[in-house]
Amino acid sequence: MKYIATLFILLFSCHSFAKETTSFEAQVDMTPWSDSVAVFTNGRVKSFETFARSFMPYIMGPLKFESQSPAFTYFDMMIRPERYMGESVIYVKHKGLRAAIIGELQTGEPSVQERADAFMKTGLVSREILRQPEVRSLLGRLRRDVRRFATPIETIDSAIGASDSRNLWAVLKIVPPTSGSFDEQWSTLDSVTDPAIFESWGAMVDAWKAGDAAVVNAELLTLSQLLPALGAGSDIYPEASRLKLESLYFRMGNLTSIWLVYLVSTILLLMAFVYRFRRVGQLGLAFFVLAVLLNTVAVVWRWYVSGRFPNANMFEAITTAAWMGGVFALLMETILRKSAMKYVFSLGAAISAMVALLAVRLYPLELNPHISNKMPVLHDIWLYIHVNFIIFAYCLIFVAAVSATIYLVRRLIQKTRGQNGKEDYARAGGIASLVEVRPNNKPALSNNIGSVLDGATMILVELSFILLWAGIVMGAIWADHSWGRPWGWDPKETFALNTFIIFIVLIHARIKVRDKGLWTAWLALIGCGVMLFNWIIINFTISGLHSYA
Amino acid sequence: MKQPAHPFFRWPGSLLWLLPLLASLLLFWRIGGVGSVWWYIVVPTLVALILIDLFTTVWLGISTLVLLFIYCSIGSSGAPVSLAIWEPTAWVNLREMRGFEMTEFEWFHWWPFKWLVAILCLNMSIVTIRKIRFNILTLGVWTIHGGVIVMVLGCMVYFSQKTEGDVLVSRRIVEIRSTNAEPVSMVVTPSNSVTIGDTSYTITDINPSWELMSGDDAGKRAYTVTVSVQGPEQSFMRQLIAGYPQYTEDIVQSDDPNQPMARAKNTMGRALVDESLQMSLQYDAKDHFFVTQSGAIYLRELSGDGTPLTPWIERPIHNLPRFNDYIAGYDDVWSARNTTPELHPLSIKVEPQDNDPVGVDFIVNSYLRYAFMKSQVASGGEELFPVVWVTLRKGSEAVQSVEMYAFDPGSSTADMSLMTFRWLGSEDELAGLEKSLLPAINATIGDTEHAIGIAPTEDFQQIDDSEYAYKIKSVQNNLNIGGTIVSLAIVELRHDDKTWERWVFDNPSMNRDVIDGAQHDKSSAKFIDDNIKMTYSSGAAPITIVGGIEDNSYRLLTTISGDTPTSTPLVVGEPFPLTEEVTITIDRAETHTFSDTRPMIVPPQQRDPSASNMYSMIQVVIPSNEGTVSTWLPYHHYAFESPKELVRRFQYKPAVLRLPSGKIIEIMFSRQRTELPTPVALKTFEVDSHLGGFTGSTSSILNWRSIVTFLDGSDSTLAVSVNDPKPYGEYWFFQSQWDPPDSASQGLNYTVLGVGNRHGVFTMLLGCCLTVAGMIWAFYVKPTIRRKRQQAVYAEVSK
Repeated sequence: MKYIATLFILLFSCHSFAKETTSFEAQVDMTPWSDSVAVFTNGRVKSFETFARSFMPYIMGPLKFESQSPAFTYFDMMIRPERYMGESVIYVKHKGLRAAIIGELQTGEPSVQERADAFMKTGLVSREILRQPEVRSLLGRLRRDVRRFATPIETIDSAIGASDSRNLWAVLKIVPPTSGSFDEQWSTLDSVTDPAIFESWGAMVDAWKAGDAAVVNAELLTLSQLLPALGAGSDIYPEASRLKLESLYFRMGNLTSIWLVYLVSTILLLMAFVYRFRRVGQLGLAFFVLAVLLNTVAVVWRWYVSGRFPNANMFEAITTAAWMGGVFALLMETILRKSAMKYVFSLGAAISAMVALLAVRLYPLELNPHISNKMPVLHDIWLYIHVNFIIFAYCLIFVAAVSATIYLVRRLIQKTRGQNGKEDYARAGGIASLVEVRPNNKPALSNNIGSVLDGATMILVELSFILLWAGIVMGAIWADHSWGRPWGWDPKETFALNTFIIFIVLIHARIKVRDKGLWTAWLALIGCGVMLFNWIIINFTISGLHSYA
Repeated sequence: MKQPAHPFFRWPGSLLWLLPLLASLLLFWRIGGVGSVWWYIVVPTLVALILIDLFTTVWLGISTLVLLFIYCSIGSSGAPVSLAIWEPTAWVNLREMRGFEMTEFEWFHWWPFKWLVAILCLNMSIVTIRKIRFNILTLGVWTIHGGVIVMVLGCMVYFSQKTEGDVLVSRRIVEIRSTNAEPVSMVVTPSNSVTIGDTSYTITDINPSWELMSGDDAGKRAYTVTVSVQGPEQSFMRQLIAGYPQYTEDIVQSDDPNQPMARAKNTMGRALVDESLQMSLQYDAKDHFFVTQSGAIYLRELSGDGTPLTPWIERPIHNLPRFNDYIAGYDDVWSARNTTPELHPLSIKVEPQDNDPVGVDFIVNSYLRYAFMKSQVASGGEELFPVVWVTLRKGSEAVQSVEMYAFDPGSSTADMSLMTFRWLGSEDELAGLEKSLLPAINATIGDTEHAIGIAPTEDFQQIDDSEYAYKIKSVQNNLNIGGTIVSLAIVELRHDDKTWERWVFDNPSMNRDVIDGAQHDKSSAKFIDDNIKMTYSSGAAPITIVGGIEDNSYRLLTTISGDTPTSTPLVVGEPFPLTEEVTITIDRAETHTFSDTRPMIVPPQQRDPSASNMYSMIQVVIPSNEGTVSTWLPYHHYAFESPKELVRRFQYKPAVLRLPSGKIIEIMFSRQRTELPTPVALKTFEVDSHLGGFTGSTSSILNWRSIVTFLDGSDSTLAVSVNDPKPYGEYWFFQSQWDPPDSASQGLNYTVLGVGNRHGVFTMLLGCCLTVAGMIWAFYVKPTIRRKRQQAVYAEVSK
């Protein structure tokens, strides 16, 4: 337990390495302000911490300016815009665009060449470079290539617009309507009438400009008490505890660092599964239980903060799917604790969850964790039923692919040793191999690793087969009353069907082929490939640009 | 799973049937019975008996499934043509290519798909019947396969009868009844107007949420429309409130400068200025909807003065392409630089309908997916209309290419007035122009003229030895004011202790002083101090190209190289250095030109993918014995019947054609229509918002709701909102689109309802439920039953 506790502390402290400097930024403590002041944005209120973390990526993408916190950079850009003049603060994601812009620069000078190299590497470039006439004219020309460049160039333009100190001020809507009405707009400090707030803000700004951190901290503390007081007596100002929890949730990186706990459990469980080390297995399971518990905390936390079950965007779908896999595996481990199949599900779920959480960490722009309101079309009970069925099915398909991969690796090892693993498969199928019995009430599943892995793959395939089909049918029911037809051959639904077709092939091919284990494993992998294709390529490349003609 | 099938089912399918098939073919051929009744009974039966064996194989089903997978993938994502599969350009869709031209719906209802599904169902049925004995253990697989068959049957019913489309319903129309005239109506959309006799009626304001101020209904909100009535004798505004005709009242101009507009009730003692003029808000009832992904030509006959003689007749177009350009001739279109479109003429016949004013087939010979009409100058023509094409180059690289028309004030200058093209008639005019190359402001005080500086100044400068001082605030050249190009210097003047601002135009009759509170109209006083008169000459553009003095000869007047203007001859095709780096070249010059209007094909990479076919157009040829007539028709998403029905964001651009027979027709390209069971009208349109209220942006919206009523005499209403469609007759009505607010309007003036039928949907659902139940049985119930049986057997054995 000591190790677990140490790991836990390590996990959550790795986000808050304070800079070992005495710079102004290090001395400014924005926490009271960030945790207590609510900002209105797009029909929601967020804590300033969350707001800054969701706003700054519009300007700097996933990067930070000189390791400053987003909250500090937001204020600094607003109060001291001159500090950012000529600095690389605009993130250009499209690598082709980066190269094209560099091509327009006069890179003869070493300093320009250096900046160009840094730009190519990090994606950060200064507004002044982007405003050069050559670059403007290049972007103007490229913009005509609507399919490839229009959106990335619009993103750059909106980043430049967003980074303007006037804009940073205009979107900082922190004053609730005096009427307390739900339907009334929030406003900026321009509309505030309370002289105490006015003076405190002025003093803070002056101190910020002068670099006087002590005064800044004192005034921010005052403001973080005065501003929430404006919303006192009405329901529209969020509770202080909710704002704090929301800030903490985002400050802790949405708890995606749980992937490390899953990693530890994966290593231990893999060792336990292959070498049958009992103690290691128990330790691996303990870590797995811890990871799932932490994952549950993350899901529930987000649920509380967002006010809805987290399954309304890609980040939520992926992290919730990972959690579902974890809970499912725990359930299976409990049921199968005495069978030969133990560790398989937790191992598969741990790897799946680890991949999922790593994906959202590595691609914060595509799979962004920000909480926004749902589109009108998503306000339906079927969002919860259909989407959860599908993401659970997708999660199980991934777990099945993990056990299938281990099976294939084993077959490869067997092949190199001159062994034949053809006979190693679960004779009765998936669940049946656990339920059905042989003489003396022995389970139908034989106790070799190949059969166990094949049986586990089949259990997952059978369950995901039903869940995926039921999910598709529920999607059709929703589409019938939402879009006017249950099936529209939209690429996303067609590839869900394609995934299902692969699994129909799997189930029928398994009846006919001799080497059942091998076919099952390969088809489970192909099915997972089609599912990932649907989740990645269809979602980000095809569906977004698809003209529904 | 593999169990011996029942002997009764096993016997018929066998290749042995080939022998009797051959024998019977021979026999029928010998006795001449080919095509007889017995031929049709015997031969198909024997073929079926042979095929039964093939269809009893599970591998056939697996192969069919693999083919289905490939078919679905090709039709949906398309195939990658490069390894960079995350780039949208890497994906090419076969069904969108020339020769296919299929929508997703069409691709998945094409015969190969239907055959694959049919083979799968047949295979599944035969395998199930012949190979899977029906018992409690196989109940699951029987249910799954049965469910699939039921689902496929449901799909057949559903998709064979599917009709879907949409209807745009405006909130209200304004109906105008004046004495001695037929009632006229126009749809409520910003700036819509209609003229009856010599009076015009224009919608000047629409408020979707006007708060009633008086009466029992005070505090309630309603949809209000203000119509400006401009007649020869009277002008006023009438405010109409939807649902409250009793509150209709007029607003007139008053003499009170603090409140220029006043209620007629207060100034005239009555609510309406002209009580014989009746205006009311009525429902915009729609009795048709437009079918998704369809094409139709609408036409009607016009009289010589443009009055419609017949109603619009709809001619459906079948098999119109959607994704690629089909061009009948190179001379029909413009294409982007460096691209040459391929010729792919179409020949789609569009047949006449009942009561059709033109009795012949129309031929659609061209289709453009994404184009817009563009006028370009072509050489030739009889009238003098000089044009030059000029390029500025930096080294060998073209920096800017412009096209300038000497006689078109809007196009005679380019690059923010940096360049201009002038056509002069004589050497004198040239001399005059050379003199006035530099801008100048002159002030005349008394009889003395003073030249004053043009550069904006910080401080007041004394005008020579006069008592006046001036300060140049700004100089703005070539402003387009109501179609007239003017240049303006804003000068602040000081005399004694008085300072004021004067606007000095290049046309002195427009000069005026800025007088607080004065209206900027022709009648009011213009000057604070008449003693000082000013003129402004904007000078020539820094680069002025002059033609017309001698044939084929041009001159360049430029002030770009310094304060001294230069005048040099410019030869077409030869570059002239403007600065050390930049050269100017007249690439081409034409004196007699005319405007040629054709569709400009937008290159594919410049097309907005979300625009679909909104910018498509077709070319229609109307053949007749006397000669053919052809025209381009842009796509209309809705075929509005007249400009009075046109709703903003859409267009109404029918073409008017005079046929060789002398008949005049009006013709339009849109979608096919289907009649609604009962006309539908929009009572009101509501928006639910998130915290902070409705800001106009979509992110603030929780839901849209159209409160509609079907005009069947019942006066009942239905609330159609997102995810909550409402059935009426055989159709369901969905919330599809709305009128978002923008700078021109507060929006919320119309709704678009999706309309669709759904026969067979419950059969499909039943099939799906059966499959799910079957899966649960096969995977989870069956092993439990087997376990019990196994335990029983082993217990028996162990005894």
